[in-house]
Amino acid sequence: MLELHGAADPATLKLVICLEEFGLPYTFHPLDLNALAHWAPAHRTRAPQGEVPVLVDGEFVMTDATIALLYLSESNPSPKLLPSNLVDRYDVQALDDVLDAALLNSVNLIGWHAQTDAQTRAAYADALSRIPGRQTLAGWSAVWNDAESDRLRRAQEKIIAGIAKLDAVLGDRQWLVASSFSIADISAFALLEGLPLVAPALLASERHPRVASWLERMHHRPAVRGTLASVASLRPNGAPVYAPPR
Amino acid sequence: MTETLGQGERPAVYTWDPNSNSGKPLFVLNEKGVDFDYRYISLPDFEQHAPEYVAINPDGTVPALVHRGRVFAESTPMCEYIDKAFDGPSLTPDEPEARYRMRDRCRRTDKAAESLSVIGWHLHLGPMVRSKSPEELARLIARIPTQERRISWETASKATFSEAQLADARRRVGDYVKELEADLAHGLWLVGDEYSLADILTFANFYALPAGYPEFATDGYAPRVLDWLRRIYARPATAKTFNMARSIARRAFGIAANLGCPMMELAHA
Repeated sequence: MLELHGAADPATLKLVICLEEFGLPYTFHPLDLNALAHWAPAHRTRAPQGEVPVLVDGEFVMTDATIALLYLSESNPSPKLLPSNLVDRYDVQALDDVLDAALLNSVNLIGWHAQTDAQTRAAYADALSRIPGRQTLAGWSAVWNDAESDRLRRAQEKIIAGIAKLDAVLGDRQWLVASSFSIADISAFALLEGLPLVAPALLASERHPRVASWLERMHHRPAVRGTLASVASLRPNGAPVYAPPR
Repeated sequence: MTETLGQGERPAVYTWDPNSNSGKPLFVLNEKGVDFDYRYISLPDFEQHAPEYVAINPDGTVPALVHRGRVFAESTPMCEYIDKAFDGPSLTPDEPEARYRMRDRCRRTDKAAESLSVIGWHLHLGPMVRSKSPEELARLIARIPTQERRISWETASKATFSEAQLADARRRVGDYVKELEADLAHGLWLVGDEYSLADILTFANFYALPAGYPEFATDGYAPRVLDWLRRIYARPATAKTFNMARSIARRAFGIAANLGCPMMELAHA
């Protein structure tokens, strides 16, 4: 039996959608990220650096959601969520890497900011700074980690550029890679799904009509509906959940 | 006539020296025994942002692989593509769990390479960039094709690291070497007993460990990592790749000799 430890944040959502698409049975163990449950000793036995989500398959512990999706797609032939054509498969993996590098942190930052006040953020940062053995932001991350207003502005610019890129990638197609639904669609959807609620201006449908209709198509998938229903209790008033900074 | 390269079965690689990301496809193609065209793009001269190159790879990044007319620009998935698209020894485990571990190692190495690049920026690239006149720097930044990277370069060009940050980056390199040491306790290579992309892509980033971080390249600190480096330096594909180097990666010949496994250095064509 698969065990999933996570919240309703974008990285966890993509794993839940993938598990639902395959119809795989799993047990979901919710973590309250704002209460730093991912840094509690119990979770750190699985994920030493407080990684979220964590997927456990027997003895096998996966702390990287993006490649866990590849693992699930390669271990479960049906439905086909990873193209067999090599170029298409590269496109899926390349798009995943681009989404992780350009969008994931930015979306979490913008979302978390929209849903917390300054006092909560300061209290969280303070509690985080006292976690023993936590690897802090280093090097380049620390260079980018300048004034809060600059970080937010950069995150917004990255999201705008990322959505424009997805709009271009979609072109006349139904799905992001080739003509078939894949884990790239799942990853992108999990990142963008909550933005209309926390940062509607970034996802204005008139500027990105193709992304808007693709989101619509995604919402019609039974696995996506099932996912949003199964995490509903973690999302008071339907508000999306975002991962606080590491 | 560079624009006609890589249109057929023979691949072309546009990249800098076999160093970090730039080196990944070179090591992999040579390990597979694939013949390819190599077009040198000098990073210190910002050739990756030159219009001739951006016409080929609109992202203005290296490395880029061109095969059957298609451009591949993300370095890690590119290597998985090379492994599957060409003949030669397989560099990816068949078993899904081992494959997860291979990809996990590649992604962790990419993250650890950030710490390497902090030191590299401090010692080499940063001073070089700051020595340019403000006008020249503005011109070089203005031609970067994507806004995201223009912003990054603008921030980076002003970046200097404190002693504490540099010490932290060094410490992290040391921690990562210990992580590799732990993996090597379970098998001959980073993922079990088969040589895989995890070894090659990690080596592309860490081949100069004994030169830049001698304190971590000792038998007392990480004996298995030292042995692993020696075994990779001894591979014919490694010597072949370093013989393609023109600048920074030429240091590999001295490093290999000091490790007791000298590579044959051929006169540069």
